[in-house]
Amino acid sequence: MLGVIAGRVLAVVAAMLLVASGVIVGRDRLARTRREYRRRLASVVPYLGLLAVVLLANKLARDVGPGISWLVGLNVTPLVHRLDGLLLWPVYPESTPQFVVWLQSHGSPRLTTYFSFVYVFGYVFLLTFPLVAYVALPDARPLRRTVVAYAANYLVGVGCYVAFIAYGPRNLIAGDVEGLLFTQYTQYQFLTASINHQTNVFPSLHTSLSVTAALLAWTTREEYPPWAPIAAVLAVSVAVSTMYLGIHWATDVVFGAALGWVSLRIGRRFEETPPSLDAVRRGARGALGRLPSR
Amino acid sequence: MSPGPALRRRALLAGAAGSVAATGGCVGELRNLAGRDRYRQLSLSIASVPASHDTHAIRVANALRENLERAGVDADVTPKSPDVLRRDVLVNHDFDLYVGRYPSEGRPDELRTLLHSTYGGEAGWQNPFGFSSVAVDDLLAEQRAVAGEKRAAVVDEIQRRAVELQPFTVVAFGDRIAAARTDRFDGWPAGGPTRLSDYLRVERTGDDRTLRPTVGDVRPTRNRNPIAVEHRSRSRVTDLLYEPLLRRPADAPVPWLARTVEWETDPLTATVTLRETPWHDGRPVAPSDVAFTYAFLADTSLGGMDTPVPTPWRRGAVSLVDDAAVVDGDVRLAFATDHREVARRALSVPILPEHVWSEYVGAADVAGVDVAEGTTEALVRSNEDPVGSGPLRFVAADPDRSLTLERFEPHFLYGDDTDGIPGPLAEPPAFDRVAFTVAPSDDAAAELLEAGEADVTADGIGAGRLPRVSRTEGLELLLARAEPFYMVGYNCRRPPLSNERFRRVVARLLDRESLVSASFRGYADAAEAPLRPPWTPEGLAWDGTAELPFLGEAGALDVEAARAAFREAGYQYDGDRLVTRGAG
Repeated sequence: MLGVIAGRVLAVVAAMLLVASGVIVGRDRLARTRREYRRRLASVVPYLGLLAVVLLANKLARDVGPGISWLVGLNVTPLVHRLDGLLLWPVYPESTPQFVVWLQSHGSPRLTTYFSFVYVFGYVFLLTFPLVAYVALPDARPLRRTVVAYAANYLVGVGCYVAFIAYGPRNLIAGDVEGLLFTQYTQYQFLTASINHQTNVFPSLHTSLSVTAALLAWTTREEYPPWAPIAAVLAVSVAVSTMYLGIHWATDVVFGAALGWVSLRIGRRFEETPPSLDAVRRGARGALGRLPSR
Repeated sequence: MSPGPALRRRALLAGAAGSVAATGGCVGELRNLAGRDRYRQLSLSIASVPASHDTHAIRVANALRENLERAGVDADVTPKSPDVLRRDVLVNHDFDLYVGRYPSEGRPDELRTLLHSTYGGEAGWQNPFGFSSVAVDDLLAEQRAVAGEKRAAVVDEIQRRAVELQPFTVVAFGDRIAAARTDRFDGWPAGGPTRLSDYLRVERTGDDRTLRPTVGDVRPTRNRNPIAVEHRSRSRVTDLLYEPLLRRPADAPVPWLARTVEWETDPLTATVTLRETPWHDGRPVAPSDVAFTYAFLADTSLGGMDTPVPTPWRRGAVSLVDDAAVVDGDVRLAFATDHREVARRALSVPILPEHVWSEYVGAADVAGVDVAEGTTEALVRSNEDPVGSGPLRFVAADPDRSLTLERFEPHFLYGDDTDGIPGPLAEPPAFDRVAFTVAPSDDAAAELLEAGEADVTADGIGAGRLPRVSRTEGLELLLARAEPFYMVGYNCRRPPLSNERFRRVVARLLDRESLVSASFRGYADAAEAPLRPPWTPEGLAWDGTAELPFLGEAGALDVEAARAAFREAGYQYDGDRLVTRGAG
């Protein structure tokens, strides 16, 4: 089951990437990239090495993380539930509905199909297209920025997953919220279950990485004018889908968006020189040096 | 602006001079006042499992939280993974309220395990609530000492007391719901497989010799220790690997590892002759293993620790055996009861190989259990490669994904030493392998069944998925009433839950009828007494209203009535918040 679903996701995303590369990147850039890709990749090798290390650490942390998390982590599910319940207070001060319940009450089968598609396929596309598009640029900085920003998302996100235990709305307020993706498109659960653990919802990495991708698109709006609005629409859709499908709380999404923004800042900070221990040390010394001394 | 130091000192002196005489009494008053705790809103946490594990439990927990909040209590629901929940509730006793499914087998003696006050300090299903009542203790002892009508009357009285004192609140008996496809294997019982006998009765209808059940619970893929209470799940995989002396495929007990059991009275003893069958590592199952098992389960340190460390699972059953000894190649069991019907429960515990488990009697030091003291290795080891004596042997497991068992042909079922075992159960299984697949949800289980990648759900599905299964062609729905019940358990060690008046009001915040129709979609029997008929006392059989009736109507709480009930129980309100001093 898992193999079939993973294959389908790969095939659909590959098709989306092909089309998008043709339309957004353009033939000229692709042709030039074919001649220069070795040199371009060489200029980002340390960055790709970093991403590989982070992804590996991420995989390990997600395998052993939940076990450690149950020993040392804080179960914030009730807190997140309470915060979420306050969000709509300005709109409905009398009896405030849970945000996700309110969102699902505006649902329809078409929206469910759209958001399920966005959650699975749109998200993977949104994350992978920048890698393709930025390899096709002669300037190495956007690609470096992307790699560092993605790595930052994973590092902070997985750190939070170990520190905090949180179940999503579909697992807590089960009577009011339906886990729509998994009841309507059950097959994808084999994929999501093999990637992530259900106690890992705070913050939403789907949201943070999507926000990062959209902000990256904004930084390259001059090179790829059509990509910025597409990425923005996709990112918003992914963020809404995580809540609409009952997987994440609005609180997870808010913190996820903040993490996405911070990650981009980190990406920009390191786009000239790769992050290394030396750089961190120098940065720390610099920060200490700036402290008011008396 | 603060006054200068001189001015402050002068004021202080003047104040001091003036107050020496005048404030002698005032300081005392101030001390009395400041030494008092302030009133605070009462906070309670309800522990349960996430919906992906048990929708019914979390929905009951949510309904209770809402009504507690309406009544002025600051309540929250904390979902925990099932093994963590059991560790917190059963081992560490670290919980306020707990909503879950008690794996009852419908035997009255289970109430003794659940409620006897001497079990309050032990870890496991033995009195996890910390409940204590001398009167109930006496009744629990008496139900072991009498038989027939007399025993029924005592069991009735125990249940009436349990309803009165509410150490836990019974909500409903949830139906067992399972799904199967019949193109490869057929003959599943109503409710789906729960015991070894259910697997043995299955017939092959296709050519495939691998049976593929789904499990919703990952615990058996990680842990196969038959006494690790946190890890035993509904799929009861260890039941297929480890065998008891007697099995109960239906009402009548069937001699299993025991070839014969001969009973003698005054005092009650049983002489057990074993069948000739080996452990999965090839050594023979010996009478000494049986004697060892009963001694070991009563104290897994075998006298090595200052205080005995009993098994957290099947403790009550083991407590029925006073002594187990090998006599002339047989096992002689002496019982703590004079009645065979009670004593038989003791013969249902899994027999363990002495040569394996005698190595794990030492103290264990494991994070996660906060009292590592008084814990033996036997209780915490994960027993990844189990050596049992069942007709199926463990082959391999992929944590969180799958688990495979295969036929163990040296077992007596494959030979002809099957006297006393009724027809279909005396035959070897109809399959060569059992390959359990973990389905991450009930929907995922249905999906695997629909795709032909699974044959049956081994640990049931929630009522919410019933329409999907019944609408799918080729899938069979297996429904049965069941003994396990959903309950709200109270930690009676903690105020205000230590107060039965408080617990009685909490019980009245539950509307069983609307819970059954909404949370269980009708697939449950509302109940107030913990035992099903014929053991349900007259007057406690469910008739639509509880003995402690819901404070409201049709699911809607009458908030004023709830607050009045808490006030009457001695609790106070500050505005609409229920407040207590100190811990409650």
